[in-house]
Amino acid sequence: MGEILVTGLGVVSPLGFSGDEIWRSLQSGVAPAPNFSGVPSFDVLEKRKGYYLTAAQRLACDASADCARASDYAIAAGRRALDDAGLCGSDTRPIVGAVIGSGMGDAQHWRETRRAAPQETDFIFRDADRLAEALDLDGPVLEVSTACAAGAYAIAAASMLLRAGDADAILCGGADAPSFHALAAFNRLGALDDAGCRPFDARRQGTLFGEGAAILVLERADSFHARGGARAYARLSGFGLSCDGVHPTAPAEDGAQLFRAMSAALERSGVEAAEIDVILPHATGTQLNDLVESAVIQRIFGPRTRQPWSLPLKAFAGHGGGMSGALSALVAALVVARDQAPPAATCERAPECEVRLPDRMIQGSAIANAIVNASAFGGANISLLFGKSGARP
Amino acid sequence: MTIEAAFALSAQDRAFSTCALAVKGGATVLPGLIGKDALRAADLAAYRPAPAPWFDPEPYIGKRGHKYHTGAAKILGAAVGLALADAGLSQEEAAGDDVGIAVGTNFAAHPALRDIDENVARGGTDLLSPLTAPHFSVNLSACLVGIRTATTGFNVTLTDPVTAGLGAVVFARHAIASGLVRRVVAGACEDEADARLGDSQILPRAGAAAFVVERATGEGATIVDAFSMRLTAGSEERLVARLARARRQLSGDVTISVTALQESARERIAGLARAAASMCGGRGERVSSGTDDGSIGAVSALVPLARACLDGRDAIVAAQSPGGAVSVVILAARGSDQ
Repeated sequence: MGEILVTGLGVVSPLGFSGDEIWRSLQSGVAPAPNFSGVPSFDVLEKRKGYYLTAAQRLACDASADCARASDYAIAAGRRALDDAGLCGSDTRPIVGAVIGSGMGDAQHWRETRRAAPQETDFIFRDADRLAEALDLDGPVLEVSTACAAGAYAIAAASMLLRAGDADAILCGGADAPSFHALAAFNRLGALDDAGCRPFDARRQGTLFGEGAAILVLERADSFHARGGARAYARLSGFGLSCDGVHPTAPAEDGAQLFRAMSAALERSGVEAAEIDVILPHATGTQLNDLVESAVIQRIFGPRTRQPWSLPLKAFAGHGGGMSGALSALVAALVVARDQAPPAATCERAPECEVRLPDRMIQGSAIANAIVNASAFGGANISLLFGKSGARP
Repeated sequence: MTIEAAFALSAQDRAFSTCALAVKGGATVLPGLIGKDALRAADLAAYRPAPAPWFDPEPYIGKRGHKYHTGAAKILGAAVGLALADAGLSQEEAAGDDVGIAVGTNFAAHPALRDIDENVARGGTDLLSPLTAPHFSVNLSACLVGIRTATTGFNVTLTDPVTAGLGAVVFARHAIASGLVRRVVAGACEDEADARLGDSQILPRAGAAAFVVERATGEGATIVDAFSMRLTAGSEERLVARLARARRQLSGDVTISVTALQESARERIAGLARAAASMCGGRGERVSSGTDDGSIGAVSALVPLARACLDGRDAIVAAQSPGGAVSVVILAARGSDQ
């Protein structure tokens, strides 16, 4: 079976609107301060900070004023990704699909509409459907809503569709936006840390939400070469899925199923643990998630000093829900393409979290493989493994 | 387009044709139609959902362990239990790493979102129960069922408008073809609705459907193809080609069911399916769609699929989203030569 390549990247994030902008934001190693969402009805909630786009940033990506932000972000990022892949404006565009993951979809839009017209309801998850319609795509269209792992699941699903021949390329990734319902529930669960999202930090007290969309163009290598494609960031070597099947919200403390997902990704990719250079962990900044995930990383890769570098992105961008795993995948593709890894945000590493956090830019030697983790409510786990493509950027 | 041209167009899909799915068991739990005997006896064209309350979970999922589950999870749990029994499997045989769950839904989380809004408005987040607050996450219904069955292969929720139930079958097919799992419980679930869709007269449909699917061995009801594509002016021929290719696996005349919000969309897709049938010298008879009862949701398109399994009729079952995405499942009721 041919390779599945990452040939385009599109992103809408408080950190930037392109791979280059994201990279510059991460290079500093300084986590930005959380801000407010700009949604007035959130004011009744005690904790409501997050890592949100500013009003100017929303305007720049045509995110609508009526709070259908998630699907607007998906369209904006999807358009950028398609353009980045060189697939815009071609008369002979291959079959392109859309597989988008979202935890909350346009729930905020539904809420605002319902407040105005209580007798009416609507579909909430329209990200993939709206994206495919806006860009007039003609391939498969799926929306995956595996909570905080949704974007990563969408990438895995897209790779299966490509391998089956259902499309030549697929816009895949995640999109999410501020949701009153999610924020209210997390307030009740005591899972928010207004000081910031501090993965693996001894002071961590919970997560903070983020927003945006991260979309990759996955493309079959034969289609990519047939159209004369010249640039690929990375290849998706494989993935592993699992489900804890234990608790609706908390990760299984033994980490057995996360371990199985990571092991499956390695095995299905034909890559040894020792060949992994960088980990993009799920790392939410919650006590148990970070503890369980770091233990699994240690089990697979050994003591901290022998581990690959871990880059917990949520310190910079917050927990973007269904978007977060896709953002990690996007950064993983950049890391592999550039042979560089940005520093982790400054933190006081918790002694119980035995992970290797870089305090400077990692560069000077090839980065062959990066693995991405995402986990979610309901116990869903996924690991994606990205490696070098034959066609370099 | 000639049949040769249609098959040539579909050449790119040949690798995909090596994985058909055996339907080992199935069940629907609908308002007033619970179980296979009720569905078999029903006139779907005349069916109207029974008013709530119509569902008592106790006979299906027991007295305990579901007090704080979503309504959709309880209905789905019943459908999954009935589908496993129909497949001759115990609940334990849905457990483990080589079984996955794929569920489509459009409205499963709506009641939880409504409750959060009402409770916070009345007294703030302190009025939210920590046991039910997580139900804001739409994947919880499928996950709660997965926890009951200890299914650990994967647990995925699809949420495309209208098409998500068939999308779950599409996902199941790829997961089995990719060797992720040996067996998938694929289905859909929806909770009771309290509002109509936009300014239409269409209600979200409550209910659930579940199918137990494995890699096909050639005998018994077989899903010979399951796919998604967006219908554009330029992709109509590709849809006909793919239908015609699958049509060759079917033994006789085929029933066609299309679920969509607009009658024009239903007729357009049914017309393409009839064209594919005629290429192969057969007939395509349009039967009731999942919207005839004035309701819609992820379960809707799975009802005619379940009925075709029961009736032993070959079927093309399709659904279209508001944005033009089409999901299709093609059933050879008595098996295929794959």
